[in-house]
Amino acid sequence: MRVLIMKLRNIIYCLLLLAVSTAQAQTVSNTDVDKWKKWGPKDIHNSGWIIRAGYVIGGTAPIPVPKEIRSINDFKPLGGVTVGADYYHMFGKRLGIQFGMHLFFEGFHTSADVKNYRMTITQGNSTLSGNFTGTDETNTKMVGITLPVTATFRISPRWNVGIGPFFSFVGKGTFDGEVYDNSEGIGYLREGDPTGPKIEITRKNPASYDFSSDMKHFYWGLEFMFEWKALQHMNVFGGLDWGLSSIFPSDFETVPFKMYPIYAKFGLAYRF
Amino acid sequence: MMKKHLQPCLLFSIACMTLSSCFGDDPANAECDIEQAWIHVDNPRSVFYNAYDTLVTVASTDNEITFETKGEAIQHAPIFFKTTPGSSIFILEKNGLETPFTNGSLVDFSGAQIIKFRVRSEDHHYLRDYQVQVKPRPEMPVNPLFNFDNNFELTTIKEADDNPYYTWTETDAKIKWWASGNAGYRLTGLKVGPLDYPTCPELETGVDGKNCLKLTTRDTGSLGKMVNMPLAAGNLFSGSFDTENAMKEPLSATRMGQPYAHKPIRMTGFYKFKRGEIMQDREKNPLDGEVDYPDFYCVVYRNSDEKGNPILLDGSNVLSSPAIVGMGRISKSEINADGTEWRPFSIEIAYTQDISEEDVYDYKYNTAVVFSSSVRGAEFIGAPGSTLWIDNVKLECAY
Repeated sequence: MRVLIMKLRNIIYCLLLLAVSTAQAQTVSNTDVDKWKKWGPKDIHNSGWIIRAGYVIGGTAPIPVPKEIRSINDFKPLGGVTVGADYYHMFGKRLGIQFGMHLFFEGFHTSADVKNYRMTITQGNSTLSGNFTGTDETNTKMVGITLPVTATFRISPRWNVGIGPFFSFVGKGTFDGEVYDNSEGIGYLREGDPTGPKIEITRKNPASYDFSSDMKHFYWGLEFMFEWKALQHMNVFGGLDWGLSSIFPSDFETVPFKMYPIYAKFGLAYRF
Repeated sequence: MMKKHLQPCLLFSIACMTLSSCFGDDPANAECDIEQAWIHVDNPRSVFYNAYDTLVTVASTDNEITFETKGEAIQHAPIFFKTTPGSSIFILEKNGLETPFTNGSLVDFSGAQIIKFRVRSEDHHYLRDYQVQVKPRPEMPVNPLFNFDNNFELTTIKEADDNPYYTWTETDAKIKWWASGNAGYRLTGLKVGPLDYPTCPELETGVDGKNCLKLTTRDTGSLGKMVNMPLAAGNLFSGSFDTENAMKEPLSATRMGQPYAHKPIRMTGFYKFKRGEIMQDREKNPLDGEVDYPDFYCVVYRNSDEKGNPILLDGSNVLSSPAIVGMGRISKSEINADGTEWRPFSIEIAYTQDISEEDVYDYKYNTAVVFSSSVRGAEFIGAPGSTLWIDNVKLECAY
């Protein structure tokens, strides 16, 4: 329950951020009728297509961050491209709906200091599991299709915001990494549990893991988006895809936390 | 205009950053180890063979802490423990009650009785029990015969562990004279039966029809290959195996040599050796034209330096250390690799330094008796499948 509340709190926070940014945009823009004429929908019941391409940045994160993760030393996106098309329909001057189909290629690399972090080292038919203290490096990549259904609201002639569920199908996903000693030279696995044999693991001879085959192919979440009309047919768009289901099945115990994919995207869209 | 473009991007990145913020307080430690134990006596040299024997460094796999004295067990002595930070230590009374223990409290060790301690982790989720004992060093006899007939047993790291392997002891006193790399092989996660470990007994096939020792060079599977240790030679050696270093410094994980109060001059026994087919290097590439050999040797070395610091040789220096005073090793040319017939061997132990009888009786030297199924096993080079059978080894001593 606490997790859910925190999740909701984070979502509301993001929405507020969006609202603030758009509200500020509104104050500087002119709200008079001319603006609506120039930038607003030409026909308030119109429909059409948008194609878009953008950059994706983000990662997979346990929310809330478990106490076993002590610090993030390094975080960098790997790849990160989205291209797609949306069909939109306006119900009136402000309200609308969008159905999208976006191809994505997204990933990240992270290095974190962990303490007593439950993990399994897997190679072929060999497994070694226990509690690890040291540095954990992870690489995640996902290639797939996201289908967002977004309720949109035009808050000003040039600004459009939206929220709605998305469903993602991951064609190919990888989740792998390695563990070794941290900057203080501490890196060890307690095999089984914290009372098990202590095995030191160093950067010179790291232990790697690969949970790619355990990843789910389907997940869902909430999408928040905004669009700003830069030109009559050209939008600048941004959004946040907040996964609400873990990338691993609920019975996958090797990674003891639910790992949620959370990605932000920015790009350009062409409106036909 | 530009500012307006930037604003949402900036806000999004702030939103993203909030995800990675809020690291909680450092979690309480889950470990509950005794890392070191030491006792204080006023005259350590009269009680112990070496002053350093008052300190025991406890491996993560050990539950027994033994202080070995010269003779009579000491009575009351203050004992100190270094435990995992944040953990609490208790004396476990005979009725099961836990009494908090303060470092340096006097403990009655008389009659070599076993005192039980319990360590509870800072997070209160885990505990470990230890047995502490102060007793005379158990004596390995002169001219010992290692017949490998009995004194081997299945060992598990924990009661519930389903991955047991064999370990060996000596004499009726079950002296922990022998160690092997089996505990390291267990970490490959291959989950094989105990008879498929590199070091195991073989029943009723010995030179005398009884049991013998069988050492096999084994592939370590994909996990072993990942950590650049593609094979494990079967080995048995007098000493101990340090699991903690098995992955980090595998050569130093094989701590070779036991204190021995006799002077070995000859090692005899029987062996059979069968070569593995393909000799391979550390990357598992075949080494064409090379063949595998077994190795067995006996090394005698000083176990402390001039300052009284302990010397314990390991796989990296057991054949090269300046502390070595005597050595005997089988030569490759003597090896017959037909793998069918028991063959006798006799190795003379040549001493390069004079050693005094007095020092030998005072446990100033360690004796390392080592058997391995691949001579270059320590470098992870060998032929998987190479098998060395050993039986009825006798260590003939001058005194």
